[in-house]
Amino acid sequence: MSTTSDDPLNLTLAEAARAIRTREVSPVELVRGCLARIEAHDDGLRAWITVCDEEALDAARSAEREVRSGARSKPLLGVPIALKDNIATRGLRTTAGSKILSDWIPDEDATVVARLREAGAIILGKLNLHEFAWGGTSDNPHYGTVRNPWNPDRFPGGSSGGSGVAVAARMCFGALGTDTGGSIRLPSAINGITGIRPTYGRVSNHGIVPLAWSMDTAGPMARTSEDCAVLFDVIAGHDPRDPTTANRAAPPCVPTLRGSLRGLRIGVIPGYFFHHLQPDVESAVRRALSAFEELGAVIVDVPIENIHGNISAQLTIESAEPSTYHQRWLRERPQDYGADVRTLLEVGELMLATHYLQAQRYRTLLREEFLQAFRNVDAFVCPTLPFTATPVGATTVRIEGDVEESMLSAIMQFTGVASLTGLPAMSVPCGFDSEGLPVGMQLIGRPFEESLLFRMAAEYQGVTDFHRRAPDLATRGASKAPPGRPD
Amino acid sequence: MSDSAKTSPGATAFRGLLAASGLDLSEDRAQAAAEVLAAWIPACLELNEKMGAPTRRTLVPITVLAHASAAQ
Repeated sequence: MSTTSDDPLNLTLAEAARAIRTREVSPVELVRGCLARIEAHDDGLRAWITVCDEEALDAARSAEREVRSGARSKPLLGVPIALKDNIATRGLRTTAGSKILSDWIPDEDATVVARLREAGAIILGKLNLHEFAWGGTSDNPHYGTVRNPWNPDRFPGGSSGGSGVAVAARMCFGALGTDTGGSIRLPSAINGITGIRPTYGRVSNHGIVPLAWSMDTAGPMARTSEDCAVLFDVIAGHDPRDPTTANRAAPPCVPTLRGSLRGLRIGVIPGYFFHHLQPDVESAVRRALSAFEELGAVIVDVPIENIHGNISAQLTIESAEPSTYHQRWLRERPQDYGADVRTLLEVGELMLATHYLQAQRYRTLLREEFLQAFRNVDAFVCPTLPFTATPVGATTVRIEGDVEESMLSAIMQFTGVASLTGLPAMSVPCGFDSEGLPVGMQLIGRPFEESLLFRMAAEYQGVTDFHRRAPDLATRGASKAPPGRPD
Repeated sequence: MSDSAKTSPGATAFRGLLAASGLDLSEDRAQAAAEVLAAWIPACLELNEKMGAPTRRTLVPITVLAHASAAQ
């Protein structure tokens, strides 16, 4: 089953929301279309853990009645979206991709879910992920290996792999992911969609299964910058139930989405942002920088003296904090973890406190350097990750020559920086490699300046069409179940 | 681990670390954890060195309790 240009599933989230309000399409039609597409292709892609078909259709009928009654103020009224399955949903199983939480039915919604429902969104279901969000491949031993819709033999990135795949494959109009070391941005880049990790503290984590408390951030994943801005405006803002959220105003970003980039200063870190990456990735991101120049921006080299060390700090923090959260389960139910996550949790138990605290001190150093650099530039642009989708099951990757590197550290080469500093960062589709696999670029902004990132991405998407392209699932064989998947 | 590796000073230290954690790992699981740590620790030590520089003595870890008004 493939989509056609006039198929409503090809509408962006923002277009779908407008079309519902003007009664050009019905929420029931959209939900039915998404469900049919899930039914046709998810056996091969494994993006979904739970599909709420009846509940979603009921909600769609209710939304349709609301539209007919003239109630059109809700920004997401009748729009089908989905949630990474580490985000709690009242009365609906929330597994975090784990066996340990396979029977957990939360008695309340996460704050972000409550806000989405209040805005009229229809929750289609829960999306697959790397177990407990601790990994970047979404190769899940309990709910199946998530596969890339552009080529099912390739991985979809992670940990929000199901979110990336479901959006790219037109199974929903947008999704929420969570990002600790890159888990929104990586699958966004690898699946050719747009996704933003907001400033740490901008979006509530209440009701989200934690990975690493000091870096966890939830955020939107969708087709376009506008789509992400619509979702972000709904979920952003202080939450008294999450003490890490900032008690400051969150002005809406949609109204300032478009605007000239003339005079905007974009920073590039010399010797780091274009060092050690695949040639197709480098050329795509350099072309994107040229596009920004044509839009009036100025590219500036900005050295960040202490940029090296970020991957080690990231690994140290991202191993010690999860191991603290999982300490009891790791002793009582170690056999219920997948092999890779279990090993990482065991390693995290063995990290010295001094290593952890030096890593946390390094974050202060790196953040200060970036804040200083933001006196000279408005944003940074770099690749989201140094390579395109690798084969499913790979634990190493070749970036340059024949050298095999650990996937875990290689994948966070460029995403760890924003995670450590708490800065907002967005992945935007910017091209394809020679095999037709998507390439993403990362925009990094000042704290709480998500609006600028949305504007940069929207202006860029106004002159490019990478975000409009869709994988052809019919010819890629994504509807066939690959061998060896769990039942 | 080979017999010689099991009795090396590094292996003794690793066993001490395991004992301190309270984790009861089988030999193969301990080996898997040791391999990951062996890959990560050199970079941790390098970061320790960087953060130990006299010019960085005033830096506090980002986990420090921040009063709301100061954090904004």
